[in-house]
Amino acid sequence: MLRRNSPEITRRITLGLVLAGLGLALIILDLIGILSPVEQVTSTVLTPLERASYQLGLNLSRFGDFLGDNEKLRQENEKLRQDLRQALDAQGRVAALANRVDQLEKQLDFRKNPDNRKFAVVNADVVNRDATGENAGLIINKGTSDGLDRGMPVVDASGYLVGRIGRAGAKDSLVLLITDSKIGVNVYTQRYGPDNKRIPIAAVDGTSTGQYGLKSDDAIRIGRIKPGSDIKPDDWVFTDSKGGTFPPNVLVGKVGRIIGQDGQPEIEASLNPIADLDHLPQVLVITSWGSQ
Amino acid sequence: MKAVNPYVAGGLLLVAALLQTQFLPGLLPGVTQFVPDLVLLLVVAWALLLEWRAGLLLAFGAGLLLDLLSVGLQPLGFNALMFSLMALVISFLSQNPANASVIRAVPIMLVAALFYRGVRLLTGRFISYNNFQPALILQVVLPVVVIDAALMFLVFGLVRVFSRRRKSRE
Repeated sequence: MLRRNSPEITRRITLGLVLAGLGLALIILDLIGILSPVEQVTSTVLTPLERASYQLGLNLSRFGDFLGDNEKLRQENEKLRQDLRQALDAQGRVAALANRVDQLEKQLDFRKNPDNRKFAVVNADVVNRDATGENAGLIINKGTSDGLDRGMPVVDASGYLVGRIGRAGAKDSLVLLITDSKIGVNVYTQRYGPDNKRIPIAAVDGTSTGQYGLKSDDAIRIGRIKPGSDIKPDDWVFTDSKGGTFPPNVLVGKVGRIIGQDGQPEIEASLNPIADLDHLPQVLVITSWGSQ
Repeated sequence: MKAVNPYVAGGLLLVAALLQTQFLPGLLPGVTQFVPDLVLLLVVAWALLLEWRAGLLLAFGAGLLLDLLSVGLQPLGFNALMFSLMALVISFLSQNPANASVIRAVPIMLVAALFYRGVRLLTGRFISYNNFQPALILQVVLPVVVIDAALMFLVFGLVRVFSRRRKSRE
């Protein structure tokens, strides 16, 4: 039986290995970058189909929410009334806080216009989310044909850190968010007082790492903080130029809580990102910055 | 031996790939990590049901289409390579496609999905991203593998219907 079938088995293995070899050749060619023109052509054809499918799903999702939410809306309405009362109470504090944020941005030279930062940026629309679940990621509609490359930092429209390019295709790219466990950012902290003036403390250095897929309650944690460092909740966190992977002084977020302070060899702190990573319609990819 | 109309197969593949990479992430924005591997389901079902040449060629085509439609950490050609190898191995498990049954297909799909997801994570690690986190395996990989295996009941029947129709026309 086996002998009779052996030529067929040989043919089968041959075809399988030839196809696998073709796949391997494609991988190598893609890693070298030779396939970019091919990807460009195919994405020109496939992109309308992709966008239409995604929009169809998105619209159906919204329509489903609309149909199923009558009762939920009533409850939410009641809750919103209560929230509004609380919000009115807190209005004064909110206004003061907003003013403080404005002042802080000015003092810290937070220029919202990326041109003023002397960054070379590429605007991109967020067109999808990572569908594999393996990454905390976004898909944007710009790729190598727009000058993007793997590792480039990504910020939101206000210039707050979002992540970096994980993989750049010809016309679209995967952005790994700062909440992804594969993204580490060298950071330092600053503190500002109620009078919006900088409190002179020794800046605390650390490395922030996303916690996606790590069974953690925090979105991001700052590790490698030296014991005894002066770090407190609500300290502002900025990128450090160490390593050269991110431009310096980009706002990442605020310190949430301090973890493991007692007797631990290193302090950790949770970090709340400033950019609204769940609702990003557009992002800016920094293709180069001053120090490069 | 069963056969499938190449246009039907192409249509099914395109629909499955668009569903997997675009439509479902849009429809289920909060749970995109549980989007099933629909294209892999088709590849496994075809490898079990069809004659080996058709199964292998469809597997390669399916992988290539998924490579072109999805944006991930893996380079272009990864899915084509994976699906070709998996279809080859599965074709040996189903020496007689006429006897292929869904009871057999479900555990094969379970192993195939586990292998596929495992290699994806290992590849991520190989290209300098440490994806191999135990929590990620528990929270994402295992649930998706179970969903894939459960969906095999549906997909296997669907693929069998399409391959039968083709046969009856002949």
